[in-house]
Amino acid sequence: MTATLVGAEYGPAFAELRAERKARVLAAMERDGVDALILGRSGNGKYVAGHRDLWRAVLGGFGPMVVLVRSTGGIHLAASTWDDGIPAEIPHENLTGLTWNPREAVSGLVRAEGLSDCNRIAADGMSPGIAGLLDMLAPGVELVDGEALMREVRRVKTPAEIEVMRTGIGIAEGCLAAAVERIAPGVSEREVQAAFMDAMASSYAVTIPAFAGIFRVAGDLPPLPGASGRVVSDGDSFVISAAVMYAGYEAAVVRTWVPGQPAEEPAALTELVAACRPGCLPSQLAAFAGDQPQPGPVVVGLGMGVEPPVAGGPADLTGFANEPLEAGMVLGLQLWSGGVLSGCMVQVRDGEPVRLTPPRTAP
Amino acid sequence: MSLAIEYAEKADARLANGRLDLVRMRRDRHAKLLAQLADRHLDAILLITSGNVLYASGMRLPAVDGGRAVHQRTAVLVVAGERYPHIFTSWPELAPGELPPDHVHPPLWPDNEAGVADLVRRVGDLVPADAVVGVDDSTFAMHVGLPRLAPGWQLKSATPLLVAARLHKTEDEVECMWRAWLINEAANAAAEELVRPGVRLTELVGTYYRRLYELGATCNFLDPVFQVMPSRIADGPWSTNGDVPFALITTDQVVGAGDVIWTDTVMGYEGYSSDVGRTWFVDRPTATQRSLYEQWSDITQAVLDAMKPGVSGAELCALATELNGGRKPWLDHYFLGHTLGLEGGEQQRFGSDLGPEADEKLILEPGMAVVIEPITWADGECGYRCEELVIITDDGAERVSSYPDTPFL
Repeated sequence: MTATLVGAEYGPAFAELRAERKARVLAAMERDGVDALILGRSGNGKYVAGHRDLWRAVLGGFGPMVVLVRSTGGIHLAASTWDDGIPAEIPHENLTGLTWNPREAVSGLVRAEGLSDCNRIAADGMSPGIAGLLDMLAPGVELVDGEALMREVRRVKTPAEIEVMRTGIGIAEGCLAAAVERIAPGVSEREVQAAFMDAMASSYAVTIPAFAGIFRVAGDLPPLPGASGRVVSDGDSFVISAAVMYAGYEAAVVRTWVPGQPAEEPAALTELVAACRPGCLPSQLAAFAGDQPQPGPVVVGLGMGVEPPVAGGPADLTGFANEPLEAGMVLGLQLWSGGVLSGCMVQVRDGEPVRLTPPRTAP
Repeated sequence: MSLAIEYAEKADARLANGRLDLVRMRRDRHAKLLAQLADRHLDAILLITSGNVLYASGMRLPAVDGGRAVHQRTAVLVVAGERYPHIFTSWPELAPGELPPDHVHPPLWPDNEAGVADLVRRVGDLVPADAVVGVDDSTFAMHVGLPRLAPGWQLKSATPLLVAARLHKTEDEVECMWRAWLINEAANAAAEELVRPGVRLTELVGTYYRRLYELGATCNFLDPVFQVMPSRIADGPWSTNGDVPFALITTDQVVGAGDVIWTDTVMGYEGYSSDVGRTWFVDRPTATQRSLYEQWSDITQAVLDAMKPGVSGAELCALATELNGGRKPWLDHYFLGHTLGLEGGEQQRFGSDLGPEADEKLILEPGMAVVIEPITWADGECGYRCEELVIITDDGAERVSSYPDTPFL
C-alpha cells in the first residue's frame, strides 16, 4: 500500500488548521498584552508557522526560529533558505536563510516588521546575548515567558487537530502491524525496529520517528529504550512502544505481542483510560502504576510533540503533574504491569474519555 | 557481490573488531572536561543541550524529536575535580555502569519557577554557594530564575569549553565514527540498489532506515534526504540566495528517467555521526555530467591530499576555488567543509558565511574529524556532490569514506 499523505500537509484543510492555531495564539497574546512571540522550540514554532523543516534529532541551545508580531500578524522564519515546506501565507520577504554566523542568525529577527515597537515580548528560551540585542532594538522591552503562553494555547486540541492526530495514529498502527509481523524466533530486536521504520517511510511516506522507540524481548524488568541484537526465542513475548510524526503531530503506539495469544488489553489500562476526566490530576493517573517500576512516564500530553503534563515513572515531578486535566487535552498513556506494556492515546472531554487508539480485543 | 552486501560485510567486520572500549572513551572525555574546567577556572558546568549531554554523561540516550526532547531532558553536572559526572535523567537505567549510584538523580524540569527552584536546591547540594557555573543553554525560566534563586552563582557560558573538549577525537571516538560511517554507507548502498524509474523517494528512505537498524545503528539524527535535483536552479523552489536548492525534505515523488538524486544522511553509533552524501544517476550520465564528476573528483582529491596538521580552512577554500576556475565549488548556504562528531556537524566550518577570517583561524590539528562536501554544477545538466570524511593524523589524514563513484569507475 502506498498512500500519498505528504502533499496533504499543504492542502486546504491544513491551511484552515494553521489559521485556527494562529488565531488562538494571537488571542492569547492580546489577553496577556504580549506584542511579539519569539520561539526557538520546534513544537511551539510549528504550532505558529505550520512549516516543515529538515528534521534533526538534536536539542540545541535557544535560537529564535519563528517570530510572530501581533500588530502585523506577520510570521517570520529563520533558517529557511527555500520556500519548500513553507506555508503559502508566509511571504518570501519573511524568510531568512540558513546561516552559521551568530550575527546573521538574529538579522531576520531584527528585520521583523513591528518588533522594534514592542513593549512586551514573550520568548520560549533566552540567552544573555539575545536579551541584550532585544533591549537595544526596543529599549526597555519587557521579556516574559513564552513557553508558558504556548503551553496553555497548545493544551486543548481543536477538532481539526484531533483529526490529524487520528491520521497519525492510523499510520503508526500500520507501522506497528508491520513490526509485529516480523516477530518470530530467530529474528533480532533490531530487525523488528527496522521493519517499523521501513513501513513508516515506504508505505506511508512519513520519514520522521518521534523517538527511537522500544523494541525489546519482554523480561521481568521494564524494557529499556531502543533495540539490541538479542534474538527472539520460542515462547518470548515482545514489547513495542513507538511513535511517528505526521504533519507535525506525534502519534504513539504501544503493544506487547504474546505468542499464540490474542492481544487483550490489560484491565489496568482500561481503568486508567476511564480515569482520564476533567479535574483529575496527572499525578493521580501516574498512581495507577502502583509500586511497579515503569519504563517511562505513565502519562504525557501529546500534540506537536510531547506537552506537559509528563507524570509517572522516573519522570514524576511536581509542577505540572498537579495541574488538573481539562476537556480537549490529548494524553498518551503507557503502563508496565505483569510483564506486559500497554498503552493508548486518549482525548479528555466532558464525560467519557474518547479513545483515539482503537482498543485491541481480538487477535 | 552487490555493493550493499559488500558494505554490510565491511560494517559487520568493523563492529566485531573488538577495538572499542566505551568505559575508556567515557573516562577520557571526562578527563578532558575536568582539564577544561581547571584551565577556565570554573567550579562546575551544567549542561542541558543534547550533544553536550551525550558527551559528558556517556549515556546512550535515545535520539528524539525536539518537541519531545524538551520535556524529557537529561541534564549533566560536571563538578571540578570529581571523578564522575552527576546525571539528572528519566532514564536512570541508561546511566553508565561505572557511575556511583549517588551520581544518578531524578530528572530536572527547569520549565517553570518551581522547577528552577528545584534545580537550584539539588545542584546547590553539589556545588559551593559561590560557585562559578558554566551553562550551555537556558530555558526562559532559568534565564529569569537562576540569577534570583542562586544569587551566589557566577554564571558563564559553557559552550566554548565543550567546543574545545569535543574537537579532538580519542581513539575510541574515531572507532565509533568509523562504525557509523560504514553502517551509513551500507544503508545508502541498499537504497541505491532500488533506484530506477517508478520508485518513490520515500521508499529509498524506508530501505535506508531498515538497513541502518538491522546493521546496528544506535540512532538517526536527520530526516534522510533523497532529493531528485532540478537540472536548472530556476526549476527548483524559490530561495533566499539563488543557489542550488539542496537539501530539501524528502517527498514521495516518483523517480523518473534521467533523474539525478543527491543524498544527505546523518545517523549515529554511540552518538557519533556519519554524514554520507552521494550523487546517483537513474540513467547513464551525459557527457557534461561525466565532466562535472571529473571536475568534482579533481577538486576533492586535491583538497583531501592537502589536509594535514597546520593547514588552514582558508588554504583549502583557496585551493578548491582555484581548481574550479575561480568560483567556489560549494553551496552558498553551506560550506566547503566542517568538523564532525556527536549528532552531526560540529562547530568548525570553512567556506561558510562566517567569512574568511574564521577560515584562516581554523587550523587542522591531529584528532579532528573533517567532512568536505564540494559540488560542481552546470545549469541545465545538474551537478555532482558527495561528502568525504577524513580524520587528521600526526602527519596527514586517514580517509574514512570509501563509497564508490558509480558509474564512473
